[in-house]
Amino acid sequence: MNFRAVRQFGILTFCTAYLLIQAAFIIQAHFAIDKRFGFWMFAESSRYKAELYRLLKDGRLVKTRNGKWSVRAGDGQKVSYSWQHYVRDFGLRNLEKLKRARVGMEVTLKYLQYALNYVIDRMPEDQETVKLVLKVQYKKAGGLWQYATLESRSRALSALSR
Amino acid sequence: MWNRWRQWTEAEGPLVGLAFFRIVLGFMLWRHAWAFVRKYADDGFYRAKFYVPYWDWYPLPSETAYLLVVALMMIAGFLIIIGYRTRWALVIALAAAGFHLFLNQYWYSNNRYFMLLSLLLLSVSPCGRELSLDAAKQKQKGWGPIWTFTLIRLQMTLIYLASATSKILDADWRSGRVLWDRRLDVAEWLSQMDRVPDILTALLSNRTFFNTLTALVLGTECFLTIGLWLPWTRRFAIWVGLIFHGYIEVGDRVLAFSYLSLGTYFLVISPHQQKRIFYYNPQDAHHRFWARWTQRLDWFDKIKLATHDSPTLRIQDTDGGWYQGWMAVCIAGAALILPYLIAYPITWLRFLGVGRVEPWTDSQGKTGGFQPLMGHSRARLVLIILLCGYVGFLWIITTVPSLHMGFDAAKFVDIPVMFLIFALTMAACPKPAMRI
Repeated sequence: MNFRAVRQFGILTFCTAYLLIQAAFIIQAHFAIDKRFGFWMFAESSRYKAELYRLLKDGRLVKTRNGKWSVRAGDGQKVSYSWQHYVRDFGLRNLEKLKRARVGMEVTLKYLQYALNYVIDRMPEDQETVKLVLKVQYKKAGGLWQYATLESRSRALSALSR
Repeated sequence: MWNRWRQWTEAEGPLVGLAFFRIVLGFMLWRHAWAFVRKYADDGFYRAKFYVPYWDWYPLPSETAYLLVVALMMIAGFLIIIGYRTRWALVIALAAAGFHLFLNQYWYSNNRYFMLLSLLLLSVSPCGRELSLDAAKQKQKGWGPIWTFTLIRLQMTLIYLASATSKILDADWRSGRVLWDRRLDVAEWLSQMDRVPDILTALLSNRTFFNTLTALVLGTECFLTIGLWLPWTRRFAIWVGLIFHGYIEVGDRVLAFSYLSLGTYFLVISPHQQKRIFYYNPQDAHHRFWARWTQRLDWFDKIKLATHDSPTLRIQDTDGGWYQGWMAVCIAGAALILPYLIAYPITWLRFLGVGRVEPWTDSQGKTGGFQPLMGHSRARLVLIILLCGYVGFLWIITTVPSLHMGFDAAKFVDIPVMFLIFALTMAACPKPAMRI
């Protein structure tokens, strides 16, 4: 087999493999919530509004003001926290405002869940909040309103306050 | 059968389309990296904020390494545009942009993925052999294997197909509910206005309008899937695609996706060169003006210039038909990149006989002159009506979707910048031309 034939075979193999992989990615995207690699354009028109709550160690559920809250640290200093400080992309930044979900609602809920866990791990001065809770109100393509409650993982406050 | 496939891998042709696509891709890569530089300047290092890594094993960069990756993308983008060490630049860009894309799950978008695929496909293509420093250095002739043309076009077809299929399979999309719901963005913007035009309010509350729009979107994507492949629909499909992607870009900022999709249209342009003959009178300053600009903008070498001593500009089109006056200019314009969007629909008037002339012969069989098929005043009236209608159409499709976006000056700068790059490239790589 000469070089020319190898080259021809190589090109045909590359093209076939490329197209098959692309087709496989497109098909798998139909079954994935984030539609990644599937070229779903403007997949759905979902809107949502989220409100952030803090579950305190005394069991009270306290709503934050547009994702912002303040606490007294161990030394008596006032420390402020803000959802927007940590979460900035994918349209997740602004709470308490009706907005469009990027890509789709399922993937937005997935990232909101990750974001809750991310934020709860980054508020060492807050020794009151056990858990962050996000109440999400959403509707898909002009459908009925639906509700979801997302909770961050719980914190062991005693460990933090030491 | 096997031989046909083997011949396909060996087929060669002009590479100018591939070179244009390369320039678009380089510009988009640069633009994409620049967006991350701005993001870094505004928000700082991405890992200092919320992000979602893909896999535990995937190496996460330090701040310096991250900046290096973004800088590599920008440098590679620039090298791809000018075509210096093109293949290396493409491979480095592919590695850097690929690594960057998988740093954060929600950085994924179809346009970034498409950019990555385009980098991969161009890195195995001879795109550096035309309109590049590499080509100038090695004195290459801009001719080479064209199998990557087909592969990139197939990729674009898959995208249209995937997009159309996903919408057709989705009950919400099919029923028109998705677009109907998106009207709320415009409605929200309108609620901030003091006075809303009645026609707009009526349009936005009309469900039939949105159902029609949905059918139009689905029909357009299906048409583009096949229309760009068929020789008799190709030019029309390119125009439809320009309007379609332009409409999307005005209404929703998808940047790389619009530009790269349109960039693949450079590969759809027929490889045949100098199939139209544009006749001008060298004694006439007005004729020389059109001939000079036709030559300057004829980046794909579509038009052959010839002189005659008639006071009228004339063109012989690919089908052998003769046209004169402004129709000749429009037909020439429809063969060029820059005026295509405007010139091409005007040429449809030729189907009504506007601007068309028939050569007549005398009793001895010699060509005696050209006989117009339609009177001048009637032809002008038809032209004015069409132009007004077309400008109105362009106004509607750009104004309505941009209402809720507001005017975003930055994104509208991209197009002139890109054409400036094209023009500079063409000026730097002149082809042999007749002196006008």
